This record gives sequence, structure tokens and C-alpha cells, in this order.
Amino acid sequence: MNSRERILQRLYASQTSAQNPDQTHQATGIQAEHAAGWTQLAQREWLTSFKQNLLDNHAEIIETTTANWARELAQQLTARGVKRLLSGEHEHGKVLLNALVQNAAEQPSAAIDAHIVTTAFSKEELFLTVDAGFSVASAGLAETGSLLLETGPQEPRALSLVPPLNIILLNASAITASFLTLVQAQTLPAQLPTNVLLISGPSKTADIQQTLAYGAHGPKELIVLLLTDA
Amino acid sequence: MSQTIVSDSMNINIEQLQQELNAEQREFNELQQRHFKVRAKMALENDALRKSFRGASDFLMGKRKAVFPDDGALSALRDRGEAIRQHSLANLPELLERLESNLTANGIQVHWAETADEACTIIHDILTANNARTVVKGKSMVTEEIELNHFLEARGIECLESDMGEYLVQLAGETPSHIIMPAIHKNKAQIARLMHARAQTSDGSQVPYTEDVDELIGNARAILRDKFMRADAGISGVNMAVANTGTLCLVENEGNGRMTTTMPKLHIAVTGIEKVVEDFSHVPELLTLLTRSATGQKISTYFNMISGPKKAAELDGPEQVHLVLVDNGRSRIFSHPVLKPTLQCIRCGACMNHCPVYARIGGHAYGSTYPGPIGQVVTPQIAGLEKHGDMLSACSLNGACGEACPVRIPLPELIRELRAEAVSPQFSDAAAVQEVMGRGAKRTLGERLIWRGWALTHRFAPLYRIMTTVLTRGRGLFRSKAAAALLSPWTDSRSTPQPARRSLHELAKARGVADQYPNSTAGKRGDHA
Repeated sequence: MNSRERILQRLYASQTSAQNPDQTHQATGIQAEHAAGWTQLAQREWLTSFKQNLLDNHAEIIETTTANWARELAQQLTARGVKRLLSGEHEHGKVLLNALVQNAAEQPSAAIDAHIVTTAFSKEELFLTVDAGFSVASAGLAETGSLLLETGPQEPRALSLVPPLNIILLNASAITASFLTLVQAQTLPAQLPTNVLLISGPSKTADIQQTLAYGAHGPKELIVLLLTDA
Repeated sequence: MSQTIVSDSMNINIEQLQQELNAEQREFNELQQRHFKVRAKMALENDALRKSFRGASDFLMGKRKAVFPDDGALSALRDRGEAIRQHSLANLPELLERLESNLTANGIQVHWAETADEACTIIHDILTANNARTVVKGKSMVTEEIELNHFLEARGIECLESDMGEYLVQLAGETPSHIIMPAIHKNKAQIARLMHARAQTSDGSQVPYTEDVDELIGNARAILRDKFMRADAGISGVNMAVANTGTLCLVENEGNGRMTTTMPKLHIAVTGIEKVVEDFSHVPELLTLLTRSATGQKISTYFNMISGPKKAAELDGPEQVHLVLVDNGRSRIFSHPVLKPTLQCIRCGACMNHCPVYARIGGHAYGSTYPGPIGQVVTPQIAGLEKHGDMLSACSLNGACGEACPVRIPLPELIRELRAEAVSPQFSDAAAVQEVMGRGAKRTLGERLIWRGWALTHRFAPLYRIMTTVLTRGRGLFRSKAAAALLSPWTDSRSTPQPARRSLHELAKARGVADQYPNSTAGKRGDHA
């Protein structure tokens, strides 16, 4: 008998032993009421709460529109002196690249070396040369100010992790009350992507004398582009 | 320990500083070998340490309170947390099998380890099969429990802790003093000295002396990002493993957990078998209970849900993901009718933050991977009452831990049960009932005789009367030198007790209260005989 079998055998044995009659929770409806007392936010509060929570967690929010976001972001990136940006292979990435090209044409000194990644990239390049990563969130959570990122071929995992500046775009209509309501609504695919993330701010630590410091191992800054008309 | 805080790096003699730190490390190691009472005493006498723990406990209690403004809502949420965890445990073997089959379907390889040593061996085998020589570690208490770092380092594999607190503790050659904030026992100045004396930047140079927290973190960040970029493998813990979807969930703020599970080609996750939950719909409530109870955050910066290695079309992520399921005594805990709720724990640390004893003696005094109330319950069950039974005395049964626990583990009751286990006779068929390891280890003849005598005097009225007569008439003896020596463990830090001049019985009689049971010698047999 191997370890697996021995462990399982012990667990099954004590489940049925007379010494351990506590099987009450097996029968109770665990799926029934979710935390009855835990108040879910009303829909009119979602946007305000979402923004406030993100701000509390040191994120920056740019409220903008479908027509203007790329231009506004391009200006922001120039102002911040970003030299190199990577994006996943999605529509928003292409729109951003176009805006950056246009921006560079008007202001050649502000040219940003921006790429859409389509093949595996070197870790050295990512760690040592890239200033900013651009990602698109599929949902926002009001209760916690979180962004849901479903990574995959078009949304590499490391773009929201390694570059010091993390930019995430979100349609305001994709904001929902909480993680609980998101899970209950079953909007996540049944077969989950290999890596799903909730991101709620730039990376941080309070491990030295409870003093908060941003930019622990991941991004030092998080910019959320909130498309209010989408 | 040097109490001088030098803030001008020009004045620091690096060799002297290194010698001081080496001496401190030796002192730490020696102290960890001593008896629990010695460690507790040393901790109580260390002002800097007490300040660190008092400050941290107050800070964390305040933060938790602020995110649970409504007692009713908190109570309802704790009910849910308890129900979810109890449901998981009630179905534990089935859920583990389901978890295994869904993880396997997702391409995650599952391994089972009965003991700490077996877990380490499995991990070592996976690493060597993949030629992995350097490992970065995300925060994981179970790898501390199985002492994985020692095991791998003894076999020539570099094993670097990447959680900021864990990194500092590893740099100091110590162990974590808190499960959520591992370096809680160190202040800024101590960390500044440590980084300056022992940390090396990626180009091999010395880290400049600074007490600025942002700069300290920046220095550690630079060192560790270089390691994330190059490491052959990442080893992490797991906060929840979801059976129905085959998903490993990790909670963190720093990004080191994501780095560990994303950047190296090989990711090995390690978890205790109790961390499984049945369904994804159980995750949000446990997550919110965990982060709010642990650090007073509505949510952590990252919640990382891993359901497989990198797929062919994906551009990054580990090529292999493994999960090592560790038993190490948990199936034994599972079989105990009273102690089973030990396994409900979600490792938030709220019990230690709220424990008045922990706040005074700190994490290291317990001499165990898990300190504080949950440590007092877990460690003796995993490592045996004979080795760790003493820490059970570090509890005033005030109940604060039980009230703070987000999944309602009745910690004071479990501590009391273990105290009883430690002095109870072993079962005649010990193997069959899977008794607590080291049951009866604290059983002494003297104590048994005293309890036996106590029980007898309470069963037989004449004996009881003799006892009260002796105690009241001989009360002067309590002031004698002999009594002082005998009672010194109690009276060293308390005033000496002295019986009253007359027993309650006599006083009542004098006031004309009638004897209710004049001829009774019956009574309930004492439990302790």
C-alpha cells in the first residue's frame, strides 16, 4: 500500500468510526444561504465603491471613454517617461499601439517602444527593459476594488506582474458587487483559464515594522483605465 | 544584542557588525534548544522584543476591527466560514480524491506524502529530475513545518525565501515568529543592520546601510527580482485547493507568490491535506474572512488562482505544476472526536494577534513552526505532547483566540482537551484508537496522588472535615519556611495564599444554617483520579 492509499484509508476509516459520529454537516445545505448578514452593495454604489477601494489601495484611476482612452493613456505614458511597453495580442492593445504611433508622429521625442507580444519572450528582456505592461480586465469587483484578469495566449501572466508600471483597462459596465456575486453568477468559464487573477492595487508589503511600502516584488504603480461609456 | 542604533553608514565597522550578528544567531539557536520556560522568561526580559510584539498585536487587532464594523455581519460570516470548513472536513477523503482527479485532468501532477521526510524527498526528486539547482520560495508555513529548506540545502540546492519577512528571517538564520508577518520580532534598526551585514546585491556588492523602509524594501526587491528571473523552480504554499475545478488558490500582497508560480519553468505547490474546499462558490467567503482577519484588508493585492501549467498556445507560465499533499499527522487529528476542528484552520493568524500571552512572549518562545493558540493546538498533535506539551501551559484560557477565529475553532477547548490528554493514561489499544501522540507524557505520580487525595476527601465527609480542620487550624504553617519552599513555583510571582480561620461550613453552622445532607458521603467521582 502506498502513502496515498494509507492516508485515504485512515481518513475513510475515521469518517465511519463510532468514535467520530460528527457527520451532521454532510447533510446540511452548504449551498444554501450565503452569509445572510453580509450586506451586498446596492448597484448604485458599485462604481463609487470600486473607485474608492482602488484609491485606498494606492491605485490611480483614469476615467475616460472608448473614443479617448488610448490618446489619454499615450499622453500619460509620455509624461511619465515610459520608454518600453508590452501588451497582449488583443484589440485594445492594437488601439493603444496606434495611438502611441500617432503621438510619436506629433512629438518625436516622446516615442515609446511598444510591442504586442505574440511569441514567448525572454525573461531578461522583460525584467530588465520593460517599463510598463498593458492588460485588459474582464470584470471589476465593487466591494474590494478588484480587477479580474483571465490570462491566456492573448493575455500573458507576467505583463501584469513584472513591469514596474501596471496598466489595466476595464469597462465600467463590467463592474459587479463582489467576488461572491461574480462566482454565483457563473460568469467565469466552467473550465477555468490556467491562471485567473484578482488584482487590487500595486504590489506592497508591511513586513518591516508594519510600515507599508509599495513596489514589493511586482508593479510599483497601478493605473486603472475606466471606460465609463463601455 | 547591541542597543546602539547607528544611522551613519560611515561609522559602521562591517566586520564588527557581522560578528555581532553571528553572535546573535548563535544565541538564537541556543535558546531554541532550551526549555519552553527559559525561552518565555528570556522573551519577557527583552524590552525591544516586547515592544515589537505589543505594537504588532495592537496594530493588527485595530486593522481587523476596522474592517468588521458590524458584529452581526461578522457573526454571520463566521458561521459561513465554519460551515464551509466543516463541510470540507466531513467530506475530506472524497474531496481529496476529486481534487486529485481534476488537478490531473488540468495537467497538474499530484503527490501524496505521509510524513515530513517523505514530502521533502518527493520535492527533492522532482527538482533533481528537472535539473533544478536554484529554488525561489513563496510563503508557505507547511514547508517550514516539514523543514524543507534544510533538507534541500543539505543536498546542494539553493532555496531562497522571497516573502520579504521570510527573506529577512532566513538572512538572520532564524525562523518566523508569526505566520503572517514572519519578521514581526525585528524593528527597523535591526533589519537595517541585517541587510547591511549579510545581504548581497546581484553583482556581489554590499547593501548600503539604511533605516528607510522604502529603501530597505527596494534593496531586497532588486536582489530578489534577479533571483526570480533566474531560478530553476518555484515552491509555494496553497491557501485553498478547489476540488470541483482543480484549482490552487494563493493569497498575497507582495507579488512574490505570483513570481514564484509564474516565472520559473517548474512550480511545486505544497499543502496540508486539510486545505481542500469542495466548490469554487466556497472560495469568496473564506477569502474575505482570511484577509480581513489576518491583516484587516478587504482583499489582498493578489488572489492567484492556478488551474494548470502553461498551455501550448500560452506565452508564459510554468511548464510543469506539481502539488504535494502533506499528511504529517493530519489524518490522526482528523480521527480525534474533540480535536478534529484543529483542521478547520485557514492560517490567518488572528488567534495569535489576539492572544495576551503571544503579545508578551512572542512567536519564538513557543519553539514551534506555528506559534500562538493555533500552534499550541497543532504542534503537540503533529510532533507529540512529550516534545511540545509544555507550550500548552502558555494559556490563561481567557478565550480571546476563540472569539477572534474566523472559522470558529474552539481553541480554548482544544487547548484544555490537549492538557487533559497530556495527563491522561494511555489507551490499552493505543494503535487502534489513534490517540494523540505522546498522550500521558505529562502524567506524574505526585500530581496523580494529589488529585486522588483531593477526590477522596471530597467523597468522604469525615476526611473532608479532617482536611478543613487541619487547613484552618494550621493556617500559620503557610507562612513557614518549609511551605515557602514547597509553594515557590506559585508564590515567586504571587502573594502566598492562606486558608481562612474558619471553614465556610463552620461559619454557616454558627449562623444557624442547617446541614442539608447531614449523613451524606456520596459524591461524584473526580475525573482526575
